[in-house]
Amino acid sequence: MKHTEESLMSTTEKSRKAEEDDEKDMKKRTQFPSSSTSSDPPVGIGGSGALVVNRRRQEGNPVLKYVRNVRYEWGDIGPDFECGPTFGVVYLSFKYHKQHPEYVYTRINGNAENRYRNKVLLGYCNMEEPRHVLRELNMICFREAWTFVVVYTVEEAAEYIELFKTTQKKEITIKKKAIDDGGDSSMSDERRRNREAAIGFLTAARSITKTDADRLLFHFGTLQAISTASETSISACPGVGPIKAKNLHSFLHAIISPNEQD
Amino acid sequence: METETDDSETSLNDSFGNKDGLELLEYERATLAKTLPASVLFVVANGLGLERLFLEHLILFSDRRLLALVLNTNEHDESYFVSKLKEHNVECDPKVINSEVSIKDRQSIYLEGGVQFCSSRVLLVDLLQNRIPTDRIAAIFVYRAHQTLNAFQDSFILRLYREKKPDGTVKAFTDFPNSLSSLGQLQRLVDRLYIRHVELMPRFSSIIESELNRYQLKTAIFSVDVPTPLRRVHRTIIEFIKVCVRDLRTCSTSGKQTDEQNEEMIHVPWAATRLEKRLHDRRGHISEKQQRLLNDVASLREILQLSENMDVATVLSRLQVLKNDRTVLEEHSGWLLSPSFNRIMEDLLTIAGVTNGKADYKKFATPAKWTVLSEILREIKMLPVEKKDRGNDSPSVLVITSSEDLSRQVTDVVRYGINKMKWMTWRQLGYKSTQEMPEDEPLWDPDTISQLMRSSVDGESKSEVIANVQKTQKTTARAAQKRRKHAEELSGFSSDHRVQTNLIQFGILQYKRRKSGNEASTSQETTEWEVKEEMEEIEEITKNIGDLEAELVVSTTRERERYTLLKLLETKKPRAIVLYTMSLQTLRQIEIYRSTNPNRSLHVYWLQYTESTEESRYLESINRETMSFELLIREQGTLLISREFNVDREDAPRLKISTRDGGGARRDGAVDPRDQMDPEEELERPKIIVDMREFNSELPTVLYTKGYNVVATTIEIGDYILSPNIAIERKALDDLTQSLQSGRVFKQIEQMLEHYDCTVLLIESNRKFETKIVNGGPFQGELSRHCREIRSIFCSLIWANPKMRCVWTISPTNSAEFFSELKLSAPEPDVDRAISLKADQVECSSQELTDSEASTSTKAKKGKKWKPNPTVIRTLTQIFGIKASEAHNLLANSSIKTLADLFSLNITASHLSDFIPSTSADFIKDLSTFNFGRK
Repeated sequence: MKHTEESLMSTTEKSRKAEEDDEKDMKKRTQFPSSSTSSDPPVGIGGSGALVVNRRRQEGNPVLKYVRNVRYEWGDIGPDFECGPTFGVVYLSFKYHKQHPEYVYTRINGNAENRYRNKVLLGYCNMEEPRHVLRELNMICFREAWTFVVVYTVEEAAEYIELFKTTQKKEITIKKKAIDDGGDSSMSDERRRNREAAIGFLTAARSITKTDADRLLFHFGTLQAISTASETSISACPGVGPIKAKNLHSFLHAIISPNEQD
Repeated sequence: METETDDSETSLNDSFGNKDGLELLEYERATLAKTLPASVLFVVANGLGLERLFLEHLILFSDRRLLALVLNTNEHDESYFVSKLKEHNVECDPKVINSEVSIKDRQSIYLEGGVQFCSSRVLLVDLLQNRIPTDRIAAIFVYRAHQTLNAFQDSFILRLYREKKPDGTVKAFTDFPNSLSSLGQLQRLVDRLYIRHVELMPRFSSIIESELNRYQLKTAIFSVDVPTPLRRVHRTIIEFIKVCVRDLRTCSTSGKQTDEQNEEMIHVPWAATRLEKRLHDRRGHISEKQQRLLNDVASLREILQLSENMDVATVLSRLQVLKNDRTVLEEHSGWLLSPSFNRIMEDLLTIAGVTNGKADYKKFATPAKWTVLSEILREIKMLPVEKKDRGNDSPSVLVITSSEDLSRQVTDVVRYGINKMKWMTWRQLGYKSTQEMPEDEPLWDPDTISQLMRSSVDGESKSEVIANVQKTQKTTARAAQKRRKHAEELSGFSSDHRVQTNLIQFGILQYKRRKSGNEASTSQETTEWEVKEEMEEIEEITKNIGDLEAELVVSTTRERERYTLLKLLETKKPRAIVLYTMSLQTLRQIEIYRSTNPNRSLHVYWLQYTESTEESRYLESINRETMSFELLIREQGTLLISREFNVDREDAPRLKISTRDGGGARRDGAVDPRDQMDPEEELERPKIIVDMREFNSELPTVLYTKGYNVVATTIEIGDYILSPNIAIERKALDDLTQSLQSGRVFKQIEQMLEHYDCTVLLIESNRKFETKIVNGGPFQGELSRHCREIRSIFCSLIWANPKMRCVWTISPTNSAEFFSELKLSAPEPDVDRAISLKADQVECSSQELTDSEASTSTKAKKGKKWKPNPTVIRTLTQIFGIKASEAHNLLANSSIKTLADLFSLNITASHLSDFIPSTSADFIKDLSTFNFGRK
């Protein structure tokens, strides 16, 4: 805890020094973001880039000690961490906000910080009664459309920064629950895989349940037959009423392409 | 007050004049006379006839002019009490109201009066929308009142009731004094139920003691010796349980609560400790070791029960199955591999007659309870039956056990005899035997032995009773609605006033006839539950039970299902009861039955091991209940009862009234146009649309207290709608973890972003766990592989939805404060629009987008950028493994116009391969022609 406080004190001093810079240095720093922007890798190669850390503000931050799984480099950027070309993270501890209530506004409203599509305020809760600080930060992030993330340990904060970096190119892989095949052990793997996909596709329609999907597949035989069936023949399937038939038919036959001419 | 007492006594006599069945005991009559006008919480000892007390209240309030609502009953309770009320031919039929009853029918049923069993959600919505005539509610009964400590709906209902009718009656009933004996729990329950009086009815009360001792049970206690090796087995299993609980405590607590450990360690082998219950509540967060220990404790308790009740061979088979199961070996905490376990196996093998691998059937010790049971049955056969006792029913004998397996075994012992049963159980050990199968030596006439299977008897008739009641009340409600409508039409003709009166009376008379018809049919169905017994002719000579071919019924009673034994006692009217295993609740119910039927003779035989764990459990349960009541009596003396119930609502904050500055916050100088409010609008309270499923949490109650009108309705997108632009999805920590794993939260946030400008994910109760019994979970700083995966999915959610806002609050009060700030300058939400938004919509969005695309393209060269339907994109990405950009490209540039085109014959895999990977294209084509109908 003392070490954290010392780091925060050093950060405070550097922040004050930054404010005391003269106009000439401000012009210099204005050029740095633009050059940094031009030197940023293109979007296509963004995955191979490193995590960029704001040197002026985050040098000596204990969070960096726990950033292990991704490579990071120093840079002159607006936010504290740049996890991608469009992802900026500002780091703030609750105790620091208690001592300097106006600091967060300069960061949230800064022009450099708002260049990003994703803007995250990473709040480190290091006080016993965080109710009022939480309320203030919640309202600030709500009004300025920032995403607020609360962490309770420094290791957790570091892990979030790593994950923001590593999940950049990662497609959302949702863990699928195994569809219950009714204890039919004789079902082949190919049939099981096809059945899961077909049921998943049909249950994406509104109000179609797994049981309904099972009945439709058994009744029509193939997905091709279901997709060519009319609404009347779908409702003729046992267990499927007119409302579900209408929902499924509109799901399959709604125009989803902008090419109306074809 | 005296007049009311006289009226209540008159009501008592009137309601019980119809039938002699439910005779009140003296203490019940006194309690009822004392508490009838007041709002009372009844805390009754376990098994001491809480159902009778509740039923008497229902009978008293079964009047068409009174409306009594019953909360927190489950299906068992409803079917039991509905059957009982019909047996007593009450004036007004009971009714069951749940979500299956439509709104119009509900409004009509409420006006009918009488006793109505309501589900909490339906009642809450009707109270909020003023569909119930609150002035006509005579009382609200809360059954299982101890559960209100963990639920918020019933408390909210009572609060609404108190707000609209301050002097209304609330009566709460519970017979779980152990749940209330913690410090402060009684006060919390009294506050939450909005009542003023607590009536404690312990077994050791002098009034109850003298009443029940008047007809003392003829009890014969048969003490059975436990063999020394079996006693050693019991002691070792208890040691295992204690070690597991101690380990669980070590890895859960941070060294506090030393006093509680010694206190609870006594009953650890039989009941779950408080720590285990709290861990079970947070089972989403417990670590692997804690989970393993919890499973082991449950398994060991089951084995202890098995070794107490069943024979040694069954226990031995069970342990061998556990030992040979690889899954169990991998997931247990190590007791199966300890030397003590080997010692247990040796002792059990000794009792079973196996020595050094050699099996000797003759050394297999007979279970001691079997021998004593045969002696008891022989004695029962010699019991004389007086002439006056014979009456219409044939005599019967009950054998009560505590589990289904034990019931089956006891039935087989009685049917086949001890020797054959001994041979059959010994054979399951797998050893060869030279002994032939012994002949049957039944202890009772096999034709009259029956085992009552709980699932086959209770399951069907219970739902039938409730379904019939609902069908009846629906017909009655429709008829009453027509009659009321007709009466309103007639009220327009002042000159025909007399004719109107006659017609109304005629309608009432007609109604009564139909009601009696319904009663007859329903009572017949209730009678079907009872097994028809043969009637014996009255003879002059006194006969023994054995000569009369008495029926022997083996039944199972559990603590959870309190009605099985009550039904058995009333239908069978047994002459003798054998308690094969002892239970406090069972004994109490038999005592009540004996006291309410003084004319019938009853003999009770009680089998119990001396100085055993079974005896310890029974004595411990008595001790715990006594201590609970003593604590409750002490706390009752210090209860804080307010003169007026606190149902005040705060005024919702307004922008004009607000004097709070932003604490130095820099804000835009621009004036919000929405600050201008109409003067008329100020008179109404602001409203918040709340989804129906959110009433399981505390937040709607807090919002209502803060002064917002809560509109309860079913909305599919979002949980709370604060304004036409603000939608909030509330997630507790457990719910957020599960939603991230299943992917549901992605869909929810996506749909909210599509329809609302401001989308908020409210993560609630995110306070660090104070007791530190769990590590904290993914959003509390725990560093484990599982939590890292959850946080990774959460980061993906943040990446995918830049416009989503996250709000983190500590408690529902904190959330309500946040809602207040948002509502400060927001217009009122549109209820119809919130209801009309549907999830998983494909058609309307596509058509709207297409229309806007067409209209824009005709006006300008560059129109609005086309966006695909998110449901379609989600389906393609999740089911077929296509990337989002590829799906976008497929829809935008290919010839596919609908989802059905994916499976049509005109589109081939090569066409699809131009836009998506060839593996996905081939999979789609294979899937479209795969035949699912053939196996």
